[in-house]
Amino acid sequence: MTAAKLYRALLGLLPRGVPPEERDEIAAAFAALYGAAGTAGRRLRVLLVSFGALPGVVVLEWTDHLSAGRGRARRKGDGMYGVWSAVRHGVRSLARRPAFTWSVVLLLGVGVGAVTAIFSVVDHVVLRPLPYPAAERLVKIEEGSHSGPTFERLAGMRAFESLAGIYTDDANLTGGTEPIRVREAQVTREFFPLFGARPAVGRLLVASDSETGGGVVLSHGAWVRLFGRDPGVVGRTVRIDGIPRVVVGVVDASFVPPEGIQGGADFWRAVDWDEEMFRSDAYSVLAVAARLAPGVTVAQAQAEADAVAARRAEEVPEQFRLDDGTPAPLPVTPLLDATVGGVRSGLGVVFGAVALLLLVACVNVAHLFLARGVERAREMSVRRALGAGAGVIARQIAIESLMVGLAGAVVGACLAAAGIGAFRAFGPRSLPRMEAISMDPRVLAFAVAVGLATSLLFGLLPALRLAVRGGENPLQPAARGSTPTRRAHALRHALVVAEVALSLVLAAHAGWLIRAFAELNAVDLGFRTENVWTLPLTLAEIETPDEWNRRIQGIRESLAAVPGVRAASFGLTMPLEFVGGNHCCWRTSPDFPGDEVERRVALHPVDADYFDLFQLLVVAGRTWTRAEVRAQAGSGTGSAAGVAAVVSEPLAVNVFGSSADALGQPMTIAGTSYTIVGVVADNRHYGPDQDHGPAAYIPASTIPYVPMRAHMAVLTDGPQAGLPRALAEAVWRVEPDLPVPVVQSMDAWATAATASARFISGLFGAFATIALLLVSGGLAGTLLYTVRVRRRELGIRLAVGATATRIERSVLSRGLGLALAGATLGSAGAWLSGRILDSFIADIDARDAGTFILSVLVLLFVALLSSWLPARSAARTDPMETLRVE
Amino acid sequence: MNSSIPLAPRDLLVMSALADGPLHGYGIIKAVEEECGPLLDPGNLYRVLRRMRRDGWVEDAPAAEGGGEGEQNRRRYRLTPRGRAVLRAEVERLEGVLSRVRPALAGRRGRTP
Repeated sequence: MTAAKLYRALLGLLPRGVPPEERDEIAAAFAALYGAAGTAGRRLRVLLVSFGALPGVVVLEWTDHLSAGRGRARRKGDGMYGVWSAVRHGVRSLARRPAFTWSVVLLLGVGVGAVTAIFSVVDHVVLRPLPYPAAERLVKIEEGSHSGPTFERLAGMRAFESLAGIYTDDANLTGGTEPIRVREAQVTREFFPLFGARPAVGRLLVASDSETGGGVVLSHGAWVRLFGRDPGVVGRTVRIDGIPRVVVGVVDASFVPPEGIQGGADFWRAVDWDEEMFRSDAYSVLAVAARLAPGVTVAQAQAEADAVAARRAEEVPEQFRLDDGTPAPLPVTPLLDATVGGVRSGLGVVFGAVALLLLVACVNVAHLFLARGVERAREMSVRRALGAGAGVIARQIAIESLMVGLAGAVVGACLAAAGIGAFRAFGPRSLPRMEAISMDPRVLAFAVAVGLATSLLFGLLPALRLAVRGGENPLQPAARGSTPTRRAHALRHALVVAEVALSLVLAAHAGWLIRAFAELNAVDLGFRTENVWTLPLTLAEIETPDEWNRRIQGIRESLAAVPGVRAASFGLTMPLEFVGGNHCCWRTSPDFPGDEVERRVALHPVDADYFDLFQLLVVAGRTWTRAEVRAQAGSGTGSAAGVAAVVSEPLAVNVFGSSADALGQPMTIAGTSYTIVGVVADNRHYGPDQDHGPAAYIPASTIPYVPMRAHMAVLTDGPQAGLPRALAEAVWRVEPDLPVPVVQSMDAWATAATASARFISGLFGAFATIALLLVSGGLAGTLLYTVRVRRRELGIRLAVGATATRIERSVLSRGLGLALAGATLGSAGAWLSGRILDSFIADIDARDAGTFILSVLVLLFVALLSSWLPARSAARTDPMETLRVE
Repeated sequence: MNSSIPLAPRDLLVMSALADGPLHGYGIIKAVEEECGPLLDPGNLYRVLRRMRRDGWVEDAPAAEGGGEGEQNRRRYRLTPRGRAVLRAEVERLEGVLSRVRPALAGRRGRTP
């Protein structure tokens, strides 16, 4: 007798107010009823009736239970019109219309969820103060890094309470099983106090650390990752870039390194002021942040900084006087702006899109409530006739609206939590403060407020109409069909038009973004990416360029010897290593004899095989060989023939008029003479969306200093299991202490280069799809409703000879008419808001007409499809049936 | 008491079934179905019974002597005098309604202008 057991188990859902004995009674009654049922049909009926009624009973018992807990203090006898009785009535009334209830809950859920998720992101990334003491007074001294002497000049300013400088760089940590690449930061004494950092273990940096140059502080992350949270790490000696340093402490986990000035670091140590790098105005190395003194405004600080900049330009004109004679500026910017300024507009656009989506969802909810309002007009009239005041009816509707709104908000909060998770997983990596994103009560309150306000507003509209019109006699025949007024029709039509317009704005933006993404993907990068793998390396502890050259060639040869590797080469940077507008690293102005124009040129020191490996297209001349460069370098730079070099086509055309004319021409870079032996076609070194600009390639062996970094590239025969490990081990065979932080395929670099475009176009695509679905539902719902209330008219028209086709066409054209009106409005909106998008996506015509027309056509097609069903239903009206009803 | 009239249909069915004497839950369901047609579900039935007991319309009846197998322990309900009065008032009201409506339905009488 499993049915009885199941029934008894389900009774467990009842509140405690129903005592166990009584549950047994209920279960026994069911068991007897079921047991006495003789036939299968009878059993089925018993099952359907008993189980079907259970959900309602459970809900009602719970509302009783809750109101009993609350109602004890209340007077007896007002239960009839009490709030809880209204809630119970509401539950019944909503349960009777599951389609309506679920539609509203889901629509609100989607709208509220999307807005809440994006609001959380915007809030965490852009709006919140930085997690530092007196964060509103923190500023950054802009325009890159500053020299050590400039730091001293700024430190004298009265506007600043305290000032900190930080310099971070890659370093190699050795001594473990494998060498590890780490970030090491050198900070001035005020750094940790400025950002309110506390130690988790040991101590932070003190004044004496800069004198001895010994102690380092570990980041919490590095402590966990590299030392397994071992508290005994304090006092231990680590080797960073070959120099032994004593760990003096670990920063607390709550400390968030200030992203706005220089990202995080694994090790912090005090700036060594004896180092040449920090003593000369020639090196701009320190990022500088400061806290304004209490009461000092940014403008006042700026005025003082301007005076410092002017004095500095007097003292060291060759460094700090610009070409037009004005002093190099020292702009003072709030640290929050410096941290998030770049993404503000982008997130603003996304937030705008989500707000549009919420609006579309709200319009649909309004449709549903209006339709239901008309349906319920008769019920309300009856209740009024029975003596219920307008206030009581309004309260009943308000309570039902609030219940639906609350349910929608709960669904929305769940969707938002899921959305935030998705955003963290798939969102652009470059977003600052991404780690901090989570849902919080404030945002939840926002979601609930939006859901409640929407449903309350549109739920009460019909009630207000009713209150204004007053009660009709419910028994009058005219009220039976509850024919809506012309005004009600106009309102519904206006809603559809608004919905279409809003969706067009979304669809157009989605179209533009998807097109931009497609164009980005279709861009010919100008170099090979398939089967190419890269390894960024940081060679440390090298004294001379010759030594660097010898060792980097050793690594190259070791890599080339790995089975399956066809070729290996290197450059200081790789294509696509710096995307999104970061034009690293070396830009210079080569001298061309007889050419007075100052040109900024991207300079790429590379190895001889680089051109072959990446298949750069040689449009004139040739590339150099290793032997040739060695011979030329050996003969000294003073010789008439310079070292072989290659320039890009844009540079050759700019300077010499054509690629062919550039061949054999001399060029001087940083004191070294080069001869142009070849010209290669332009390529997208800095990403598909960035202009490479004029570029020159010089042999890496001719750099007059020891480079900090190099990037190896290998060309393989094809996909191969265990390749990254094999490549790393090949490096360690010749350089056992050199970290290989990552082995990544060029295809992965290429995917990463378009990741944010993919993300945002996907996001907008999803929004636009949802909006189109909502429009389709709204349009179809409105037309179906119109057809239903006009059934009598249609029946008469059919009876007096109108053809079905004609009726069908009239409904279709009504739907299309609404869509066209919406599209016209939406076009204006899309075009205006497209301007924001224009400024947001560089290099691409964000408002191209072709894509826009396509969006309009898609929208009209959707409108046509959603009008078709109502049109068919209208054409199939049976005149006899509709007339008989009257 | 007047505020409880007219009775909800389910209340009327349950009280009518109890008018003949004490019954347990299943007995009420059976009586209602046999005499009036609709099949009550146990969940709603006990909800109604609990409310009526709280309002003083029904009360627990002493356990039946003998009775069928497994039915000795079942709780039985009967109408209180107050419940009986409510039912009587409702039946009288219904009779008034019926006496008016029947001729109208038969088409014999119209409302006089």
